[in-house]
Amino acid sequence: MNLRPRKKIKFTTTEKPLICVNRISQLPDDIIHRILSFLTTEAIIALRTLSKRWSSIGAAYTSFAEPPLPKQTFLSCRQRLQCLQEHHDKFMNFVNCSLQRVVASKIYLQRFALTVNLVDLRYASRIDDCIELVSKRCVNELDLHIKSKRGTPYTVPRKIYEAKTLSILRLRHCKLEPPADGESIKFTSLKQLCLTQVKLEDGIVQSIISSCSMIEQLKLVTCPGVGCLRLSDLPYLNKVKISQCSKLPIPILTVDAPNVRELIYHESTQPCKFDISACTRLTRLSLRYASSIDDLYRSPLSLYSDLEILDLQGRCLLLKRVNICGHQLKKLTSSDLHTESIIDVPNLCCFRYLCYEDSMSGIFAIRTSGLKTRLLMLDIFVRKMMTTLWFLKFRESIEHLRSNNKLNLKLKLYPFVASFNLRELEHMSIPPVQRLKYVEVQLKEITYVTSRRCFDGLLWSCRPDTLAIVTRWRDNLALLYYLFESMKETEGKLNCCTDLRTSKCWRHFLKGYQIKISGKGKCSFEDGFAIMELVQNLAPYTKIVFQLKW
Amino acid sequence: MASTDDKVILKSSEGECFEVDMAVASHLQIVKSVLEDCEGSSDKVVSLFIVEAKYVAMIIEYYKNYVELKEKHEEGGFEEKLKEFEKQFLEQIDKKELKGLVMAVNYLNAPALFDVVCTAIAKHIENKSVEYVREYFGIVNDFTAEEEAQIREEHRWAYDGVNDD
Repeated sequence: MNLRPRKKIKFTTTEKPLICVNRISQLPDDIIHRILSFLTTEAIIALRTLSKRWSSIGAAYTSFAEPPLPKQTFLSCRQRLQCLQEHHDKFMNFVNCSLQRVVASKIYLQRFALTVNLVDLRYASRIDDCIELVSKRCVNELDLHIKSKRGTPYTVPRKIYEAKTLSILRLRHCKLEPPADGESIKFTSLKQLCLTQVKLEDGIVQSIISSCSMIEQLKLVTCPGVGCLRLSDLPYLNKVKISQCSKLPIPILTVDAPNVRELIYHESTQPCKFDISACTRLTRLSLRYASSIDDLYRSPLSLYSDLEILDLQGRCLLLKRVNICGHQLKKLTSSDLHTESIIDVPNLCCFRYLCYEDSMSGIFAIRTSGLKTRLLMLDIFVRKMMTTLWFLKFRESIEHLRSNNKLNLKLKLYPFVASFNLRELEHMSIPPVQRLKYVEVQLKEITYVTSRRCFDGLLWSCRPDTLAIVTRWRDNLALLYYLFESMKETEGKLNCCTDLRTSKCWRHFLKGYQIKISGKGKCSFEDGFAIMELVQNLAPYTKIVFQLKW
Repeated sequence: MASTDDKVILKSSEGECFEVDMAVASHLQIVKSVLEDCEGSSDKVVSLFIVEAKYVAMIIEYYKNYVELKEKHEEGGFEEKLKEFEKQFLEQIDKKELKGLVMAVNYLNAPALFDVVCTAIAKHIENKSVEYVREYFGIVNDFTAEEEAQIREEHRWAYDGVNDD
């Protein structure tokens, strides 16, 4: 260590130290706040009897969720409704009482949350009262989740717009109306706005946004009625998520806020139009759309040089050439691309690919020559038929990627049909891709015959060192039996592939195997029945790993 | 040259010195701002008057690992590895020391560790009896018996499932 005489640096901050000897046992308020924010409502309430100080801080985190109706013996519809109403009455009384007390004790409300199942809109006025009380107080965070049973949603009272101190507003399952004539929205300190399944009147989001220049996050999920939205003059805006908010006519989204780092725009049911060319500092972009009038191509992707995560999906990508490039880009999700598209992303580590077409155009678009990463994760979702052509292309595409990288492969197979002929594949004398490090297959709702053929096809295309399978084993015991018995057979005893004109199947090349079951470690079994018995008692999606020696 | 430039010395309340890489120390906002104020001086010592040596050691250990893991798992998986480490890290710490640690971290203004320790405290006091929590934080009960009974009565449903520790 260097021990020259040193100039001492002392704190010159005016902040006084937070710990004094005689107050050592007392935590400062902000620490208590932080600790409480990690606790459940029940725990906070339990802690309110600690002392007056803790009680008042605890009350600042007021949150109510209507408990479910206790289970009862059979009731007629009418009796049940009455029960529900009584239950609801009791709960709302409790909420109102507690809230009155909080308001009376002049506590600064940090957070107020209310989750209610509204039985009858007649009771809505009691919720209105609550919201009015809270809006008048200095509330910081407001969380309302109000479900109504009979189609008509609960309408949030206009008093909510008076909440000047509000910084976070989350609404679910209700309806938002514009402020009355002559009144304005006073959300001057709003930082986060999250609306989920909220029915909106035309233009309401636009007017809220234009009244709060401090906004940092905007999230609109399945809120029909958003319509056209223009996000501009919002210097603090950094996250935008808009998902399934379409309503005819064609929605137009314009984001003109330079500091947006995350943008998610999903509109998969109808054509849309968007302009995000001003968001040059994006690090994460996710676009899923059915088709767009004029889109991305006006603002090429190379514009976003900071981009780290890109998710680009939509059938329309097949129609036009897309060039994806970027040095920062690490995670990429894409569906099928136009055959002339190019993905030039040297630092790519994780590529998820949604495969609808046989052509595997998404994988062939990747330029491998510049690829710097040592390990590439490839996730392929297969949602279509697996044909002979599919396997040929699959083999070719992993060969293409393997050329200068280690490759981890994850295949996700969802309900589909395998319409290929294994014989047809075996007639072609194409060597399988050797020494693939790791292949994981996830199966869902697949029949035995399909899954069996699909593994034969997979092992025709490549020879992985490790093959892992994740599925609901209860439904796929036969497959496991089949794989196990196939691996067990040694070369001499095999009686398949007798036709000399075709190449031999994978069984003939397997030299040894080992089975590992996650949570149990290495396992060995005498026969297929033993493994079936063990697997039956496992958790549904346990990973079973076969280590194969070729 | 580089070796001295990249180091900073943190001095605990007892006067014990810790030599730390700049990359690690820069996670402590207060150290960072002090050093920025005194830019240009050749030797860097920051006195942390009110933080005991054992807490300084803990905080340095956490951020050393944080920086290492971040470098090692640049390509992904950093968050999971960090979670794993945090679990180990918290297991080593006596529950009684958490309180002192959170104060120290708060003072040094180290946001990542602050949340970790606060979560640990929240986890620790969750489902504990009020008496236990009072003793743990050294809180003096200033409620009268009636007041306490009243609050308990209001929230009767919250007291189920409490285990005494």
